Amino acid sequence: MDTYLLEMKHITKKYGENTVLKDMELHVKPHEIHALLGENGAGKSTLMNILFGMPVIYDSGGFEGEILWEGKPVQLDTPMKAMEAGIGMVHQEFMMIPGFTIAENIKLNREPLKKSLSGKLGGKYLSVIDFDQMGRDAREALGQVGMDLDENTLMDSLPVGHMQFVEISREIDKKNVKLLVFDEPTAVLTESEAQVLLDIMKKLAASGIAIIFITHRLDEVMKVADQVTVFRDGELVGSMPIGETSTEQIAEMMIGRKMGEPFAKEKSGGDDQAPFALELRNFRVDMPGERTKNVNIQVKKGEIFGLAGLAGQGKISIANGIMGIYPSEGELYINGTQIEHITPQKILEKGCAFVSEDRKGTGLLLDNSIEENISVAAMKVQKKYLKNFGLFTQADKGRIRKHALEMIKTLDIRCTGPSQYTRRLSGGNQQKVCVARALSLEPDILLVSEPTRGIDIGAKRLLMEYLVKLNQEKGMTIIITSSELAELRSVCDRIAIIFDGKVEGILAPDASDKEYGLQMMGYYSREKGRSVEEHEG
Amino acid sequence: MHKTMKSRLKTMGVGLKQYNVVIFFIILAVAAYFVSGVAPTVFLQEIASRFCRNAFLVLALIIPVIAGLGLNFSIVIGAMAGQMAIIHTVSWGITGFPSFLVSILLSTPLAVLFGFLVGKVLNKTKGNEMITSMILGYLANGVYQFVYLYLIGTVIPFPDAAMMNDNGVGIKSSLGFADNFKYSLTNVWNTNLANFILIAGVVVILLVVVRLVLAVVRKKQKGTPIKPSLLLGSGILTVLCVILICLSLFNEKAQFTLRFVTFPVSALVCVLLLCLFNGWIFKTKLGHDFRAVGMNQQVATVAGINVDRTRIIALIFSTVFAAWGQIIRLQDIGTMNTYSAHEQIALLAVAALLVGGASVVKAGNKNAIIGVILFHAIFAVSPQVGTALFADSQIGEYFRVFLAYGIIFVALAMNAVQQNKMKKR
Repeated sequence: MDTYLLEMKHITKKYGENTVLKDMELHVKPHEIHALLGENGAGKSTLMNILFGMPVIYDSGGFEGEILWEGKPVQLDTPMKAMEAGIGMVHQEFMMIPGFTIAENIKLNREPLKKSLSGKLGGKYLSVIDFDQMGRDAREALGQVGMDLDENTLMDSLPVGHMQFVEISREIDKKNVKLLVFDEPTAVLTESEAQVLLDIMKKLAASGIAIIFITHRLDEVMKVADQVTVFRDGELVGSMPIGETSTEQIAEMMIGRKMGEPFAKEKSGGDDQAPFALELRNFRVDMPGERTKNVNIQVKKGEIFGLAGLAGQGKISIANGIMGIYPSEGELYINGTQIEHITPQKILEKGCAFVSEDRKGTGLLLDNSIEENISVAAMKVQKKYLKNFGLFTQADKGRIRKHALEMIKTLDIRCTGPSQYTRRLSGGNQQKVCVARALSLEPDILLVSEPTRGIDIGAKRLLMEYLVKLNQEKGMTIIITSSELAELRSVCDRIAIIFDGKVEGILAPDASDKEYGLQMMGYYSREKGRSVEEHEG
Repeated sequence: MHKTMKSRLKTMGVGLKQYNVVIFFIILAVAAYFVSGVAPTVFLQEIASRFCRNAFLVLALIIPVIAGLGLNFSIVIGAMAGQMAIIHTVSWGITGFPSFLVSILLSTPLAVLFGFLVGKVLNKTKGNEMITSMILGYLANGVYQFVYLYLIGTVIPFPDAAMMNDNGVGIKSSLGFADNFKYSLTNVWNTNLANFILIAGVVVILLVVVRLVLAVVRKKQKGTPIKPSLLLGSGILTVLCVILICLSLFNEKAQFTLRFVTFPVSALVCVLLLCLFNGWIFKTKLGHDFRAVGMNQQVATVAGINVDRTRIIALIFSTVFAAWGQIIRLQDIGTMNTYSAHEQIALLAVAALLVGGASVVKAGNKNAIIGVILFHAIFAVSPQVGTALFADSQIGEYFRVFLAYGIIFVALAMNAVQQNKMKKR
């Protein structure tokens, strides 16, 4: 048996109180394509940051555990050291200089130099660059990945698909490279480009370079990987050769978790009678990084409806589109009436309220007090808490204070008083203020995005409990968007899985882990898409 | 066929649009010349001497632009280093060309130190380099005045009493160098414009021939094809030179005009050397790092380039060149306003560079040279234009100041509009 090229043993990493990696193990052999799988936030990128000695790790107190490189323990505490050891990275976002040519990008900071007088006098920095040699090196590296490109083309005139290949050429050109990390390389590629990339990966592995392959596409893993390691919530779930597993098993491993105890509900499922509380038809939202292409959803009255999916697939944009924060197309019906030309004001008037995922940006007025934050939307939209003097109106301080105190008590907002600035509150309490503001509007429909992001467990439970209570007692329709599937499954009546800007499927909270896993990975639509392509081809 | 013709015209249109700032100012300069009614001899003399005075300072701006630091208004600090060097050199009684050399030598370590300090500050204020460098210039002005207005004579001994205020404290606010430092570089080699055209014309034609021969040799050795643009450019240059040479040799009227314009060749040689240096540095590893850092700091960092260090080096270069540039400028003017000579140079240099079609992120030798010529063509005649338009010479002077700021504004605005268009495309 050959020895391991890289061994990461008992890796534990904490950011403050928050443990993001716990006793993690990773063993990579030479010649191997090693797939890393896990949901967003499972700890893949943290592990890779540790491997690369990224400053973010060392600025936050380092990590525990041991890294063995070719059998010997190593300290990889700067990116330079990782590079020198022979670790290369193909970045998810393209680390290229758009105004440079392909050759200049491939040889960036490793430019071949001519021997000249100035170089002898002034050292490396005053040596003249050998542009001819640079071109030849670049062409050779491009040739290795099977790309026939003019190395003098400017980077910004290249199609996106090609940039990935240039980046790979750059890593290959580093002659000592022994391990390459591919971070979701196929995310921006077309089907055929992705195929070319997978072939190149196989070729590289055959030539002796080990590859760590991070992806969300299970079919690609099954096609090229030799070994699969699955993470979940910062812990190792399992690692096995690809031959001993199946797509279904991997999906189950990624999702499967101790279910949060479901909240007791007296009635559920919502009202089957039409009209629906909210309906979307062919709904598209143009939100950068979270585009929705074609969403059809019907939310029943009195229902708790969940929107789940991986980051970047578009789930976040749906609530933002409904609220008119990002431009959208398609049809939106609230309580059966169609809303045209969506603006936030119009939607708020229709009885919707929104708790944004972007607490500090669109959510809170950080330099205003809690009571002002709670009352501002209601004042603006419903003219509540105002004294009317005919010509002008004035805020009714007494009623605002009374309402704020009530909210602080019901939601258990930990603060010095209603006049405290929201900037000083903890994340959880800020979130509660956001919820309180939405509730001041006394909405029929409440849209909540990422309600528990960055909140401690106690506050999480309390918030969720309160949402269920609102639903049960007031019959409020609630739409929750969340990256935490377990949380959605503990409160929702139905959960829509968003993949690639579309609804992949709608599941009951007690559907199997396997089903959730496959849908989050877009297994069905990708399978379908492929069979269509094959027929046409 | 028709399509390619059309697309070719289109790309030509896009190509021309890059130069719309320059074209605008060429039109303005020609119009201003005719409105002003200035004699051609005076006009040419103004441009020739101002070009040789200021081009060096404008060229000092290029490296920081390429390194992503924007327009370096802190070249006034470099200029102060130059002035400090001049003050001390003159006080030691050095005259003639040696006084020029000693000033250059003395200013260099000062400028390196100042450039380093400016670089340190600008690295702490990334994204706001231009305004920071401008304010740094004002701040340094205060320190400079404190030293030369108060410390000289009280704390720092100073050998030349004639340069000091009557009470023995501080340097006079206005210094004349008529019998020591004035023309210390200019007098090394100057000639009238007719002779200069003859010499320069021959040199340019020789260079063109050498270039063509090299291209032919390369074609034979390596098979690199000769670019049609090279042939076209060489042709135009040769014809232009021949016309100019003929004019200066055989046309009496032209000869008469050109004979009365003196041309400071030695200063021009300095400018050309700096152009060559700028061209060379961007072929080196260091210059390549300037470009990489200027285009994307994050990518450069990940590639292992020390971004902060590279930026400091860029500023040191710029500050040293600014100091040298100010020395070249002041030896030609021959007098110095001790406490304000440096104040205007950043404004003038930036305006000239922008007129030449440079932007906050892109600049080259070409922009600097074309810009200096055009800017001074307009600047030289603007008082007369003001007088001609408003019939008042006082207004003419105001017109000049208005023009300098107006040029910066128009050039920056045109650049911004163009960039937005590019983005949309």
